[in-house]
Amino acid sequence: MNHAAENLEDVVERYRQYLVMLADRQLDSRLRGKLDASDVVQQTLLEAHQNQEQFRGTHEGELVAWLRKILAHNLLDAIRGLRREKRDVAREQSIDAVIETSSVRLEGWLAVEDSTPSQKFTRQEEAVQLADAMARLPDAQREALILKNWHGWTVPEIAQHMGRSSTAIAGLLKRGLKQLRQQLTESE
Amino acid sequence: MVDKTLPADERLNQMLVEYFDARDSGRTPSRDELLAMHPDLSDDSDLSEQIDEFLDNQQLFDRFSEALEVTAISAGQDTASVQGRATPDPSRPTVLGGDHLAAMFEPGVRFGDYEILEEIARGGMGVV
Repeated sequence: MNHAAENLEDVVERYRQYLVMLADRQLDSRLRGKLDASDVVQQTLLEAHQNQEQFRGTHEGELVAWLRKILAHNLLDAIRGLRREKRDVAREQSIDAVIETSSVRLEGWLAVEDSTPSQKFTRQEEAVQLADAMARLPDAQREALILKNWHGWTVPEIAQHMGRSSTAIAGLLKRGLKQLRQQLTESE
Repeated sequence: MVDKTLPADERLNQMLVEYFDARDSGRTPSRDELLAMHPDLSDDSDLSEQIDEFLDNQQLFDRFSEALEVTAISAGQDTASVQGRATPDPSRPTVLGGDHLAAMFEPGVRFGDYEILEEIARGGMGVV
């Protein structure tokens, strides 16, 4: 790796927010309240640390691909856990279909992960910058941006979910985007 | 309708709500179209500047967001997610059966510390 002198742990830590955003992006929005992406990522980084001898790559892109794969497996595991839990909760039957959809998305993700080489690394830096910038936003702005842009919710849906008016949501989106721009262009 | 007596910031937010509405119904209005929706405000140069800024910011976000997509997700999955969200119908049949998931846990697949050797049992609680 380029970071021969660096501890793997430190390198891996740089991708924490990126992995959280990826997990958030992958999870169906109805599962977001049930699964904490940060927890799954924490577990993922821990496992990466514990199993670092298994990592055979030589390039940081391969390292991140390896992390993504562990994350996808952990998300699948967490989703399977939900499936077991929800047996006790008859009213949550509708979550079944959601779990299926999320599982299939993750399988697709893993399939892509297996078939594409580390060339994705070229754009990965942008993704990492975005994730880090998103993590620094006020919670409400980040939530609105994620639901709008990554989960395709309408503004009135977000308004209802967050208990605010539609114009307030538009304001959150507008200010969030503005702040992201400032951060992203600073780091460019 | 945008109320002209509102503070500028609030007028912009109202216009953005309309912008997102239009975009969600599959037709993203251009800057000029957005302004044309409100001819009464078209002489408000502050407002049109702020709209330009917003559209620029959204575009930049989309570019970076795409980077997040290409590092993990194949095309087409996004629409699946949106459709899944838009039809939260409890009676919807589970068309995607357990076989997909089972394929993930084929013998030989590594799972964190573990490698899956064989299927032990399969029952009401799932596949062990």
